[in-house]
Amino acid sequence: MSKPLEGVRVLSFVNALAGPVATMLLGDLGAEVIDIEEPNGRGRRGAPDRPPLPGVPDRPWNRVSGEMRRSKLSLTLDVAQPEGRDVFLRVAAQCDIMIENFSPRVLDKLRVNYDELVKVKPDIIQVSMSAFGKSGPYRDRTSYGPGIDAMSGLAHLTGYPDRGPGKPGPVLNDYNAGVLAAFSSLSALRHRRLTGQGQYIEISMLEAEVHLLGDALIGMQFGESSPMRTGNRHRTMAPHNVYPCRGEDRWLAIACRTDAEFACLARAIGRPDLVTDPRFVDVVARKRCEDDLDAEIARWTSQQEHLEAQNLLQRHGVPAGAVLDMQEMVESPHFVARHLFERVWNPEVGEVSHMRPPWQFSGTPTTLDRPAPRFAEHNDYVLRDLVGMSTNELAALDAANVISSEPRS
Amino acid sequence: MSPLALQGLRVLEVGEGTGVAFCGKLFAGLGAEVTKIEAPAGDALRYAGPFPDGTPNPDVSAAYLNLNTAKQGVTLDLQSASGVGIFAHLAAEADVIIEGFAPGHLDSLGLGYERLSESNAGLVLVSITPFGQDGPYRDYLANELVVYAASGYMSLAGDPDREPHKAYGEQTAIHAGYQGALAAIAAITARDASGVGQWIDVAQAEAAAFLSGGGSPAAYILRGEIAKRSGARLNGQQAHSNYPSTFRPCADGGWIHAHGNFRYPQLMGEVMDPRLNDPEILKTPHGHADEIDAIMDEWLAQYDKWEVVRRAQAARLHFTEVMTPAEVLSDGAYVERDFWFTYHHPEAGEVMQPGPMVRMGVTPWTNAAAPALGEHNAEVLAHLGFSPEEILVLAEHRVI
Repeated sequence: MSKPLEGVRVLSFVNALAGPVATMLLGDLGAEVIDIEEPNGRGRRGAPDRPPLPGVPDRPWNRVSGEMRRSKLSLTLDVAQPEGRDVFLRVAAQCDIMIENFSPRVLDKLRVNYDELVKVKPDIIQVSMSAFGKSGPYRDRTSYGPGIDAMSGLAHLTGYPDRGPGKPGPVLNDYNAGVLAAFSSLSALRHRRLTGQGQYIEISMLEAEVHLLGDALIGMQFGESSPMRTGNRHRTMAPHNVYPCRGEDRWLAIACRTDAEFACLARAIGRPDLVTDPRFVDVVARKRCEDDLDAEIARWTSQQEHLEAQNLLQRHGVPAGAVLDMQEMVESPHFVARHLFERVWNPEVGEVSHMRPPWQFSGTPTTLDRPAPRFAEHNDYVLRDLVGMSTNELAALDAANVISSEPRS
Repeated sequence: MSPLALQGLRVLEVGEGTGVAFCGKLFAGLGAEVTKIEAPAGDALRYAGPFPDGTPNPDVSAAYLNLNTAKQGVTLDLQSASGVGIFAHLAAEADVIIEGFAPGHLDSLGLGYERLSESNAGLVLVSITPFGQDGPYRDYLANELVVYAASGYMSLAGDPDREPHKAYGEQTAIHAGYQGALAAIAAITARDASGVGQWIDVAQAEAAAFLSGGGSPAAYILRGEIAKRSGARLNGQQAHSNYPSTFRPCADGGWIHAHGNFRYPQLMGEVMDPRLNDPEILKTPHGHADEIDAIMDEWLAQYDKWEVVRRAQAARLHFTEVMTPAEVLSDGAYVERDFWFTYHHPEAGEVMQPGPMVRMGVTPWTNAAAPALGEHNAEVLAHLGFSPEEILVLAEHRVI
């Protein structure tokens, strides 16, 4: 059985993270993704991890770009050269979808914008994704994900109440935007199946992110005073926090919504008295006396191992989760049982573990079986087999440094 | 009227919470016919607020209004045989069902994938749950905070000297909703070719783990290094890595996000202070992060956040303002791009909320207010062939 997007061809002209995520996901789903790399071999391949990987000392492998280049084909191309631009358009003419996430003026400057693409492929679907969109006062600003978290209001609402704004996690915005780009391009593809019509799609990562705090923005219009960050605390739930456990930097998250869940917690930690304590007797009292409540719970957790305490509380019907570090996450019995990490044989660097996307299909397979390509690995396939160029043409492009089979500076 | 990207695609959404609601919102925004099925008391988001003047009212909860735009709202008691029967009718006509019940619940109602696909072979069922449909934690109780913890994502968020923290709201549920929508439209792409649908298992904890990116899990797998949270700075950086990437305060007490231009590392020194172009700092910027912060703070202390960003962006430094929600609401940039969806709500008055999440040249984003509780009961039931008298019977028996 073939993968869900078998037969869909995507041109990936991307940098940073959101674009690579979008085309990686489409590749994981079975689309044929032609990923353009700069012939100088720098760009998105990234600096090799230092020190080199054990066992493969001479093979450059950047773990982030290595992850993001899986499920893709590598075509090296200098789009800034006139011949490179022509090749770009000839490849685009063979594609259903083109995804790019350069800053707004770049495609115009390279003369490969949507107006040019429709001349060679009238029904192409193009997604252009940038921090602030192609118009408006912020068009010419540049920013990465955390800078967008700042402008959207999300950073202001995230973090400790007694400290500055916080990051929602290592990265959030780029992953959301990448999925949105993939989702909207496939939706446009459905529209094209029904009507024959392609289209141009624009994503402002800032505007997409504003939806993530829409409740706060609407709430202010309803008379809520200025919302502020609250750490791990919840508007209405208590307890709702992380609590210190035995060992260094070990924490357990506990969140009880109902009286019943709180009663289970009290029993589980050997403190049935908490249920009748006037400070914790109902949801309002617990919220009012949240500091006291957190102290009582922490007194118990600080004597516990975080994973054992998690399992104990879950057995008693309490929503609880140990804060896993990266080792515990990779080795989590749950994730191991669900094969969250898949081993892919990469001829260049050996066996590599990739985290699969968070979905599993019952019918069409989505096994990760296409390793990150070698530099220029698919130049021949794309330019000869798909585009129909001759050996002489390829040699001329190589000589002119428009494409190159080896990284050049 | 403009055509819509997902015109004619029928989507049912059932089961509570943010993940399924966000997933359904994406389909509704691109023009699918999304019918949200709620228990007669209404979805949990109807009680989450905030509410106008602080008065609880399930029709005007801000959390609900935000996540349920452009959907039809139907109430249905799935604990009753009559309710289950009506759901089965709707499911027989659906292209996609998005559900967020505990694993096994739909099956226990006789509405599992195998049963539903018998009368609708092309059906795509997307289940979005905290830990997925199998595995040892399948039945663990969870919510946003617990998922944050159990995914490992939380260990990478927060200051090194403090407890880890989650993000505002329910961001991992939202990412699971995003991923569910992508998987569903991919399955629809396959179905349009083969005629055969399928069941998709989305685990919110895996969506959260996915957010931790390729770098941090791989650092452990490849080298046994355990990445740590690093506050406002980027995770997993080495001494030679680019810096700054951090939040810092300005003269007015406001904050900015400072991000250097790694292609032109000397810009920071040229714009702010020549001490920043010390060769040692340029060679290992991240190794000198504290020193860079201290020098940068002297410069930031001269200006308010708006002026800081104006000067920095003019010099091609990637600085941005940390905006409060009030500042987002009054920022003219959104007006200039016609972003806000502004409408008159019969109970809440004038409401302004986020508009197009994506702009498609031919098929526009659909803006429409979230439904009141049971707003489309009569319409949807009439479509299934129920007479007005029969609908009254269903209402009296609280099936709807």
